[in-house]
Amino acid sequence: MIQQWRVRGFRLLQSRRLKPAAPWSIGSVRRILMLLFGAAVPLVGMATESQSMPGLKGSKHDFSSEEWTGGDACIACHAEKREEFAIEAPLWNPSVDFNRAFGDAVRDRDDRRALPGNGTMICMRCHDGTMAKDMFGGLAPPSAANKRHPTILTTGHGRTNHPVGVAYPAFDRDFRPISAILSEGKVLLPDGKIECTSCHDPHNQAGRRYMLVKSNRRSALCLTCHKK
Amino acid sequence: MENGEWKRRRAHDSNCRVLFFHCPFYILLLGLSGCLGPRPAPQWVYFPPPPDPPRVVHLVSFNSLHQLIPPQESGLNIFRGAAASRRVGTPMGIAWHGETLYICDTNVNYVHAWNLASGSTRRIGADGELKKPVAVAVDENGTVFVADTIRGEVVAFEPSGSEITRFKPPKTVNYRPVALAVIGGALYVADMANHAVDVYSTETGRRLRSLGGRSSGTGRTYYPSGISVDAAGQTYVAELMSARVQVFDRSGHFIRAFGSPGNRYGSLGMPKDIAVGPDGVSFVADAQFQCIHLFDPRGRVLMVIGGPRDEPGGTPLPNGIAIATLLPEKLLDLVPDGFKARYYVWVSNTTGQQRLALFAVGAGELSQS
Repeated sequence: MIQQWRVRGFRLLQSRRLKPAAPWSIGSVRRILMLLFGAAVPLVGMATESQSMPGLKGSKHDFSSEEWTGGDACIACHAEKREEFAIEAPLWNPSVDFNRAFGDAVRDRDDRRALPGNGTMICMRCHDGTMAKDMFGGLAPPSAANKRHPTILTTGHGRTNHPVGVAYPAFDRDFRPISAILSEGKVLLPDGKIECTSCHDPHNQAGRRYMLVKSNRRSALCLTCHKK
Repeated sequence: MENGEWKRRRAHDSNCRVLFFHCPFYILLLGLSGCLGPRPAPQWVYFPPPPDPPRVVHLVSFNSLHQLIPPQESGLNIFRGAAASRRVGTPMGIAWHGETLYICDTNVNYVHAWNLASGSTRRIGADGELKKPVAVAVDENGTVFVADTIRGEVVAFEPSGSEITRFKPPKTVNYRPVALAVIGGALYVADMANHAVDVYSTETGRRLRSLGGRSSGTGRTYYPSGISVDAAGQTYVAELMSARVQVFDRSGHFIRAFGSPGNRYGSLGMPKDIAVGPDGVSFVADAQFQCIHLFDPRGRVLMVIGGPRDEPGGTPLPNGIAIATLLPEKLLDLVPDGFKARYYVWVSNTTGQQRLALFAVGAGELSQS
């Protein structure tokens, strides 16, 4: 069953990625206007629109203008996609298959269900209080969920914490069924787990505040999973 | 009122009363049962894996001091609320001095000081002095230097725990110290806001010199995230975004660099911290690939230890690394027979069940546990 969720979540992720922007969306209209009127339009657009530009470009996570990325917007977070440099055998470990990339080890690790997934780990690399804002929350309160997931990680969002890297409580009556969430297709549950990427879209495709996957007006985002 | 309901109510009341009066005993029992957990049996994990001869062995991983030193030995006093200070939440930078392990904890925002010989604990900056401690260093006199990114300065504490002085360049608004090293009266501070490494005098608190700068060019430090100073006085600076380690001499001149962005052996992902052993081997904690890279003094890759696993020998999301040349007697029996340890490496991980890991570096043969 978990396998099914995983496949389904993956398909939804793919479909979201491939879906072209609707011609009437704000981004598309602005793109047409930019083509027509040039550079003056973004200034007008910013003044009239409270939301930021959709897409990674121009967002806080766009490091493509920095020297170290060489203009590549992806490698800031997906460094495993960097091109390989010198390849040499490690001196103390000569029998290892040194052509194997580390990125594969992270992606294909066998105990991936125990630790939070990549959708959390990538964020937490920087959001630990050094390079970016600390998003590690307090210790998880003792509860039944912690016994099931001893490696629970909570993220601090102001005064509240939210667990990440835990399986979605599909059989809890306080939560909506997983099929309803996945059919809506906004909140993602990679591997059937709640990760940072469940609620936040690091690629900022919608251009919402805090890069949310859907608007939290009237707690709509919270109520996607929580019944109350 | 019906007879049955009255009986039910009376039973409920008496149950409540019993629970109320017994409550302290239950709490006591709960606390003791949590503390008296069995000491974990050693599960040694060797690096590199066979057939290569082992050079590093993972000794133990733990979350609280009680997993390492049983409370009977450390003189547990639950009435002083000692349990909370014996458990780490989000360990960041770590340091080792004498027999004491210093751990920055951004969950509770103070520094744990655990004496692993006696089992006694101290809390440094627990009265709200520290806002976001991310790195710690201890000098020969026992003065504890803590880098705080929200306060935007390095704070020095006496061994007794009182704040003595602070280090910050004058007229600097945005200062974000993220890594520290202290040796011979000089305090090295990696400042991620200005992409520089500042060197202060621990005596006067004045800045002696500054090296690096915002560029990924040679001799510049771009997002410096880790510093270590070796016995010869050479400064090793790990850079988060340039994915390399640069070595500077005593006066701050560039000597050499190793590591490059990439995902193969010899390249780095996102180095968070660096420590140099007494034999010149540098240990680089990599948060991208969640492992520790080992380089020899010439910058050639030796091997990789740890890994993205939540099990003994794994280092899920490592953040801090520290070298210990000596361990207390109590911990030496963790080293397997037939393995000659020369020194030890502490690693802090920000996820996983056991967030502090101890490795021994040396040479030996595989021992079956």
